[in-house]
Amino acid sequence: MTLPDDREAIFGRVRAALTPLPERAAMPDYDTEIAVVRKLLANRDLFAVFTERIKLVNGEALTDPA
Amino acid sequence: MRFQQIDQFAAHLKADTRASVYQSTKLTHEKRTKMLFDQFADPNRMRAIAGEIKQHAIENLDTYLPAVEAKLQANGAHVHWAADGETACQQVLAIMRAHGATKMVKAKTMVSEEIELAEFLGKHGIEALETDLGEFIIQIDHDHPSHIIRPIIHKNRREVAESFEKNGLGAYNDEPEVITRRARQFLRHKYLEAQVGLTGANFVSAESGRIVLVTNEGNSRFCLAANKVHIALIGIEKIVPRDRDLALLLNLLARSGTAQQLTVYTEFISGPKSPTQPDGPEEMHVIFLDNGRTEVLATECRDILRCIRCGACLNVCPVYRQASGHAYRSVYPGPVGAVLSPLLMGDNFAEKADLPKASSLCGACQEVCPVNIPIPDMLLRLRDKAKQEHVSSPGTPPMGAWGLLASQPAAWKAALIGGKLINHIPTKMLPIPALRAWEQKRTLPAWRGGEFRKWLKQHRKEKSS
Repeated sequence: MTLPDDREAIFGRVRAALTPLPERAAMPDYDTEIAVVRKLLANRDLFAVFTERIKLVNGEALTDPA
Repeated sequence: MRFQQIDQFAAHLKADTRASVYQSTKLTHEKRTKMLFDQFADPNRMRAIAGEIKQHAIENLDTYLPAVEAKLQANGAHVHWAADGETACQQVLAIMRAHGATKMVKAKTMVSEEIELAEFLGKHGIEALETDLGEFIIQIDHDHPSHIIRPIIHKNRREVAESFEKNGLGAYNDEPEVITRRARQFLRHKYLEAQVGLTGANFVSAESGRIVLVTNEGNSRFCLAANKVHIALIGIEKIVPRDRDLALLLNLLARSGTAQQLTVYTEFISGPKSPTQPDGPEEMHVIFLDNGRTEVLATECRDILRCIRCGACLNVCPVYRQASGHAYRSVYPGPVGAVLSPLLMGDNFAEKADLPKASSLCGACQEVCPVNIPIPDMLLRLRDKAKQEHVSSPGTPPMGAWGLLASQPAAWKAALIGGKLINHIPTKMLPIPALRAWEQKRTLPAWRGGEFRKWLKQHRKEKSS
């Protein structure tokens, strides 16, 4: 199967668009903890939260590994 | 006076469509705000970081595109590159033909709307069926989406029921549950009949080559379950640097788009099925589409490529709420569309140069944007571009007289003094017909011209003494 392919053209355009930038945006240094819903979970038993949520989708939280 | 196209569209919009769009967007926006601010300590910091991640990704595409290509290939996928919509359509067609395929199921992909893939395949005898319920309704109605994530926000259930009846999907019944069951019954057969499944992607990780798809109906999963071939059609701006960045972006995407903690289905696709897996596509093709994106990358409006298509800016926009999505004449409506659509037009910018003017520049779009895109700034840049390129602007009041006054200090001073006379003329007698309708409902504020000059004079006096 031979497909038309514009790889080099696209890569060339990307380079041409980015080369004139005096500086590139840096990758931010951040803690992924920022995306954890701490406020929602504050002062709550995590197992109880999980059980409650799993019940909402008709699931069952197993309490006994056996 | 001639009006902007968007004004004309809004003026003729059905009242119940306007009400439905307004209610739905307002409710989602309120839920989104409550959910973000109730659950996270600093949602605005999250938005800022997400914006920086995406900005970094787009400003380093020359590194990330080859990286993601290598990862995808290592994962067993075939990678193709399409400079424009026509090439992408031809690539999809070639893959279909190579497999003798005549039927395709699609999970919602805005890029395929952008390049009008279904119409193209239809002309070549291939059925490309939408499987997202909203998109399916759009397809059988020969309509167009009017919202980024709620394509039928402009329709009510009665219209949908009529459409189902007209298209042989059962007698009229406007119960949402019945409508959904009927669509499901119809689509289940189609999933099994199709040979190829086509999806878009919400994100692609350059680190792992994982394609991330979010849906609420599970239709993308069905598209991939029974078919032997998976084609992913993806804009080149969808790259994120690392898998760990997805935690932040997915949390923001679902809350901003549909006010959910997470969408019901979040899929991470690493490649075609491995020999040990019982099901899944045996072949995976990823088509990366440019279609004007590299031109946008070369402009000062490149920040718009951060967009993760959540639709939050549409939900909060006072213009979108009044005009609805079709007024924007593009797959991408609302504030993001007012920036992106004219830019993607390339040399035909003038055709959509009116869209950036469809804004009060209130700034609400940036305040809710999960990747903090400075949309108002870009609207201004595009207005300037239209001015520089002498694109006519119907509905704009003549500014020649103002320009003359503003450039002649003496004339300006005289006008300010003369303006005070207006305070002594009854509003009804003001010789400005264009203001009459406005004045019927509002009181013209008193003329206060010259206050700044007075303040500056006083300020200078105080400073020198």
